[in-house]
Amino acid sequence: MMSTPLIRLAPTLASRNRQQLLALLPAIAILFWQLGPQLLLALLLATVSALLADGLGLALRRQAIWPVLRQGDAVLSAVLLTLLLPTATLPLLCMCTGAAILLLRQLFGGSGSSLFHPVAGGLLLAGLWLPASLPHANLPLTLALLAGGLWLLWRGLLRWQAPLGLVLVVLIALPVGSGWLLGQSALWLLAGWVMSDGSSTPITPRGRLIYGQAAGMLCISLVTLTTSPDAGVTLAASLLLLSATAPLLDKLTLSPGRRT
Amino acid sequence: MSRQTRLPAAASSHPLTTLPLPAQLNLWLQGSRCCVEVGQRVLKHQLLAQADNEFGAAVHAPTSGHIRAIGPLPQALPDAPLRDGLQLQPDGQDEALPLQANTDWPALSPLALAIRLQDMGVMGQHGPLLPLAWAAAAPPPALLIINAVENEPFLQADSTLLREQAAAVADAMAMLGRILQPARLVLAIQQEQGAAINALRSLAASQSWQLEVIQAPYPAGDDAPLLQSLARPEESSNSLCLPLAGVYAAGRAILHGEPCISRIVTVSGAVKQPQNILALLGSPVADLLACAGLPPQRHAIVHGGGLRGFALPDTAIGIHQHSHCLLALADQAELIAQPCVRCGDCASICPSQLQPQELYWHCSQQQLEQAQHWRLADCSQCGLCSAVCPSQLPLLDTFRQASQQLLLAEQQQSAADAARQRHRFRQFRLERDKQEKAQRLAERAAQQAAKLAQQQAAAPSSTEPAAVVADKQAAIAAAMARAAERQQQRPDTAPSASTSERDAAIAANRQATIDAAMARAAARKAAQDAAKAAAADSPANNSAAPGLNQQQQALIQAAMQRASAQKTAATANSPAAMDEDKKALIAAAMARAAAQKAARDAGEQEK
Amino acid sequence: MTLVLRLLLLWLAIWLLGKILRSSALKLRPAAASLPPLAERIDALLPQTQCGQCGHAGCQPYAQALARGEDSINRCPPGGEDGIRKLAALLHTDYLPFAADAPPQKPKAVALIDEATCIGCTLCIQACPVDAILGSAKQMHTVLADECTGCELCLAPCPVDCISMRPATSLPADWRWGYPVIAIKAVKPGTAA
Repeated sequence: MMSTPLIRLAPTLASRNRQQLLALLPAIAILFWQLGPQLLLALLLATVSALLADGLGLALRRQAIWPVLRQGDAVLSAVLLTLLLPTATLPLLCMCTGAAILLLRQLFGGSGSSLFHPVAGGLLLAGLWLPASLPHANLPLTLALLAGGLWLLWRGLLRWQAPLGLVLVVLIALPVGSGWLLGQSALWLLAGWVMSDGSSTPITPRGRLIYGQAAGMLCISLVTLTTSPDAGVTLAASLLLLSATAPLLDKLTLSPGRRT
Repeated sequence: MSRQTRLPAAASSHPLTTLPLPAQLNLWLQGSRCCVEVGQRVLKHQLLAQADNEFGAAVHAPTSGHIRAIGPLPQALPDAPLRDGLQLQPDGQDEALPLQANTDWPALSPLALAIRLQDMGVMGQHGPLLPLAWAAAAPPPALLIINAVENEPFLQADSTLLREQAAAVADAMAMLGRILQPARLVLAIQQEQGAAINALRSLAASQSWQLEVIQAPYPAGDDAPLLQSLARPEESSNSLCLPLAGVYAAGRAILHGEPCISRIVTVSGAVKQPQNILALLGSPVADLLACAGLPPQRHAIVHGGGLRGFALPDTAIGIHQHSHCLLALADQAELIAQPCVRCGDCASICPSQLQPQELYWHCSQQQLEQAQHWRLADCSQCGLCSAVCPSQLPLLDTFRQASQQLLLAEQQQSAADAARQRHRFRQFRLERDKQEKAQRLAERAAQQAAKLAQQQAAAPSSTEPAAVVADKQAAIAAAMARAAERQQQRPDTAPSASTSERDAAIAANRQATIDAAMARAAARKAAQDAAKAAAADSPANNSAAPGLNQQQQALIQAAMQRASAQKTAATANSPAAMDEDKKALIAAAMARAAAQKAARDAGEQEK
Repeated sequence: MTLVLRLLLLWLAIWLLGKILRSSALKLRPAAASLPPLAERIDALLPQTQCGQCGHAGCQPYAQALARGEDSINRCPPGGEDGIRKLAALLHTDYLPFAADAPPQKPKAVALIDEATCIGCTLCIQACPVDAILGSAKQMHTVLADECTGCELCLAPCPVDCISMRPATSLPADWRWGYPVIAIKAVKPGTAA
């Protein structure tokens, strides 16, 4: 038996997920203020269905359940989806959460190897049923999300390259008329909590920047070309599409480096 | 993303305390042979074990007492393997042998110094402080670095030593400078070691060495990066890096005749009072922890620094010369590795700019060639990747293991290549020897034939010499036939085949020499006769000469044919015979080995 | 008519594609001539102990026999199972475990001559396949440990049995980093006291 019990210089996976949840607290507070206790019910149900789906997947894969569940990936996904989807249709929320986690996380072999982010997948899935109505900009929520994101950045937990690429492209494309995207809370939520994920994005900083820019361009093209009103669903679709290219981007930008 | 490595630093320098005499000392006999017996009483500084090989060092008694056991003991190494050790029970009297200070040290050569240090038990990173092979071969080093950088979090042993014993360290460095004659002598120290720097600044001014303050972050204090950053291009091939503790011990050993029996250990982590402890070698880890006050919870005891250390399963293990730090870490029960989430933090913190996540994947899949492609060889094994990995993957351990496997494979390959070369050369040599021998025999026979021809050409008149020559020829042929016969008989006498072969060759040689001498004598006689006859009547014989010549020529030709036939027979025979020989030998050896094995197996089965 | 024409065109296209693929495959394949002979490549994988445990008089003859397909790949105990795997990969055959009666695999050892007993008969020198034994007639012999392959061929010829095998040491670090086990061992203070 040998092991190297080290002093840790960085938070563990579970602690990272906890801090990401913590950064969502202002947004949850704003939504609670706007929607009332309905939000809490939605959060609870989504979390339960996420945990059930994760546990079921793990049991089917014959993996230890509790050590994985306590990492908090499922809870984070559930909270994100609750913030992204309308809380009025609870069954849809629960179904999308459970299906996304089962199909996009567990089917791909767990949190480390899920090439497609379950939150983006769940959002796209829900988009099929959602009424095509233009969501209004929710400025307080957007600001709360920004604050949370900045806090994560300050803690060194946000891999900022991909979100930066996205925001840069949206800013550059202002003349096209994409300014309204910046007011959408879904954009900031996806940028800060989904695009900073490791396994569905390239691993190199350069690759992530390219990924973010490509996601921005794809999203803006889709929004302007197809008159799709929902920025969140469109961006989720672009992210899923681009996640498929992440291994390629890795291959292009990753090298063993120069020999010394 | 360039992240400045921020390592947890001890808030202030801890005090230096001396460990009370432990109840038992567990010494590691690293590469040394014990020269005392169980039950024997030994005095402080008495020699317990002598260096057994190039990488070992002598061990001296840290205090007076009785030898309780000699044999394999768990040692403070990864996995706590059983290694040759010695248990000493102190009697508390601390009765010491008188120290003999050597005043002749300025006259020592580097090699003599290295050997004396080995005998005094002063060790460096790998084996004796000065590697013997280096000391024997190397010219004066261009750059000698004394490494006093605390290159891991929590470490304070070197700083404490400098603070407390600055003058002694300076003396030791002056001694090394005097004997090794380096072109440049440098003491490397870190920016954070403020008190030690102050203690040294005043000394460095009056000495022949320089003080270099390192500002680069971890792992700049390791030997390789230190050499890279301090050595000028022309010096880099001929520099040496020595650890401070070893240099101090060398100073005590050479200047005061005191063998290395103690060292300073930093005890830190979750102890009540972190401190630097001057402990005798072999002191149990438990005693050091108790001295610093270990709270009663469960702890993981880590030997070595916080980044590269390893857990000790047992606290009875004694410290050794490389034990610079002991850490008590709170039990991390949730330390369960999760799959890699490709966060990329390891790649951004790696000082060698590697991609640890790729390396880890290939190493854990045992794809060492791929791992080499991702520059496993460039990994300095600093452990930063493991420390930042949110999934708590055992990156460092995996890289260590893979590097070692790689090294082992390389060693095996080079050994196999060397063996192949030696085997082929041996085959070539055997073949060449055979051919040379055959050629020698052939040449000798040809020479004789030529001489005969010459002699007969010079003596055309007499028929007598021709008869003599024919006789001789027959004798030679008979001798060679005998030799050939003997050679052919050889395979039958297999066990001593090569001896009889050599004897036969020698005998044949001797015979041939005798024959040749006789032939020479006969030729001389014939020549004299011929000269006489020619002087008597030269014109008379002129007509008879061609006939005689023809007759003789035919004879000579026949003889030469015979000789060459025998020669070819001999050459054809001997290699085959040799091969047969060798094969028979190997077959016999293998048969015997098999028989022995069978016998052994049978014996084991009976047991 | 058009159907026949289309079929013809299709056939032509397939034929052309086949031609292109074939020629490019031939172009891209590593030229067989540029590789060393098969026996050499097999020899490079063998451990070169020259011990003859495979039944051949050395590693090269075994490699040649393997190249001719006259022997099986599981005859080399010093190469170990790893060696069999490498041979199987090179020869495109299946892995073959050692036969039940095969000589056992041993850790690497080197021969050591007991210099007090040695009578200087030179028999071991002649048996050593890699010239790793020094000495001459009636003089004590000694083994060059660095060159010894541990083939044990010198043991049998020795008339006084003065040669023994010692485990090869790899100094200074003769411990190995084991494969990491992800668990932490905690020690209660005072358990050792």
